[in-house]
Amino acid sequence: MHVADGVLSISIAVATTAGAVGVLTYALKGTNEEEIPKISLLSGTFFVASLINIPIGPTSIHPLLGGFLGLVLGRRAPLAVFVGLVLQAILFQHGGISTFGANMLLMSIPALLIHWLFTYWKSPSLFWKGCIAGFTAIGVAVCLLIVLLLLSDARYGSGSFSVIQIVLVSYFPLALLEGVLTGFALHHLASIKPYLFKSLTEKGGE
Amino acid sequence: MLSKKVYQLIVASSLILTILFFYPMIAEAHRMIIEHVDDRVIQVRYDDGTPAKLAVVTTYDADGRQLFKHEVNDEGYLDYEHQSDVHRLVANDGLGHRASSIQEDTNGMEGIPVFIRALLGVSFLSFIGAVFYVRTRKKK
Repeated sequence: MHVADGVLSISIAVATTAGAVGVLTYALKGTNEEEIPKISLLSGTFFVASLINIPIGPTSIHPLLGGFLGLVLGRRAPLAVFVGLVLQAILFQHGGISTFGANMLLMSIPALLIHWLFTYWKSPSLFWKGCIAGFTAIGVAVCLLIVLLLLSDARYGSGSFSVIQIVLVSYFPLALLEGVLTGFALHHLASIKPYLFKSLTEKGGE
Repeated sequence: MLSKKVYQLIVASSLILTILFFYPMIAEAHRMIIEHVDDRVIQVRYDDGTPAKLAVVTTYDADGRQLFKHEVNDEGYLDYEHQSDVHRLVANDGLGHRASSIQEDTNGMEGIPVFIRALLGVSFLSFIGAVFYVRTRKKK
């Protein structure tokens, strides 16, 4: 889902950069040392997962792990995304400099939304939380990407094989796959480290 | 750590800037773009897709020395296949539009295998995590 340089208009690039600064500030506030090992490990996971990169038109598709980051890291998910994106930009030249803010928002906002959703909705089991989170995070990210593309240039949405339609078709199977994988990953992780998911369950872990 | 006021100021400023720039004024002028369509083939066009037929492309090497200057064809294309050491291309159509692009460097980070770069990133993050894990354990 990395948006390359030149795809978005300058005003959208500036707006998303400003938004990303706000999101990062929100995520940084109150971070303590005990959380950094968890954030580092999940940054690494996000970094590796994003290496599976298939270019499509002006963008590309790859696993997002937005649902997984949102459920495990919660409010700190944007930090993991930020570090992952910086490493990808430096080591792989993935994504653009002017669109760094947009890429940051595309992957952080779904994670934060998932975190807020399941802070209040505790009834599903962890497996189903994972499935819903994985699928929904991709859906939200795709919707955000479509909004940004349309705001930048309406031509992205014109024609039978428009970029936006290609993105929608490409990401739907990924959303299903990521939902299932997130569900299984969460279920397995909860059996090993139940304290990680205290805030997500009624009782302290499954 | 940031004080509450500074934190609120940063979040509020970010929100305001985000909202302001989401509604840009429509500008009459358009910009010119250099698009790398193939290895050592570029197209100079305006952002509405129209080829910049009048554009003249000047190329420079990595030290900033000018290599050559050439007009694009009627479709805006320029093939510089026989030119080596091209680092930067600058197009100018004489009507106030200018575009610049840097020839992608394939001998830099891309020379290192993907596996090694991925391992480097993961190792760096694991190191950071391990350092803070040891610190927190010591504190407890």
